[in-house]
Amino acid sequence: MNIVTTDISKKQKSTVNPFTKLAADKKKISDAIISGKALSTVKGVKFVAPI
Amino acid sequence: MLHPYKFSISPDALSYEFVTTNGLGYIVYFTVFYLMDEEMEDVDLYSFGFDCKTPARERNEYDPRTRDTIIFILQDFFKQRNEDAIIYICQNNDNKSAGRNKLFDKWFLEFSDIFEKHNSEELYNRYHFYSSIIVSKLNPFKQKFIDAFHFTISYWLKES
Repeated sequence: MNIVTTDISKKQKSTVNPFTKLAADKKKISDAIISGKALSTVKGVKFVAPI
Repeated sequence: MLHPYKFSISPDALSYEFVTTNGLGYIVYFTVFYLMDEEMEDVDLYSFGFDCKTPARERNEYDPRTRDTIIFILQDFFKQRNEDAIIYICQNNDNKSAGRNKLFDKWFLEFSDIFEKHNSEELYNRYHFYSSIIVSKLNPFKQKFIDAFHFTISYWLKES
């Protein structure tokens, strides 16, 4: 798998609660999927592309 | 034995997708995630999620092949990344997270010979956070991930 986007820098990592961010990301992803939008339209999430 | 649906890579190459015999479309995806260890060093891993394109209120049939397909994709992930780990959290914005967590537990019970799954439940900012870390039983670094999982939860989600 390849990482295809870069949105969070190393510096930001330790100041962001990863669990609340993931919960918010999941909501954005779920809304996009239900709306029939591609995941590439979801901003601020680093997806890992299948090989 | 798993009886997965045929799945493919999505046109934008960011996820897997499959369609059930009832015509329900599913998306399975992985994202970058990180934990931290006791030295506050980042421990990189992945998060995993899946969603049906059809809203929950419009579907009600349990299909074991949906579970089989998702587990198969996870197994495939670990075949390629045996030394990595995956975080899964249940969506918590609709008061159904406890049910999702129970279902996910049930799914994995049958595969406890392949995967090791460690769970956490925390109440944080009025939301229940059900989270799990999944590692291959063969992962030589599994204890590092499990320790970081519990440490990070304690750091960010424990309300004093």
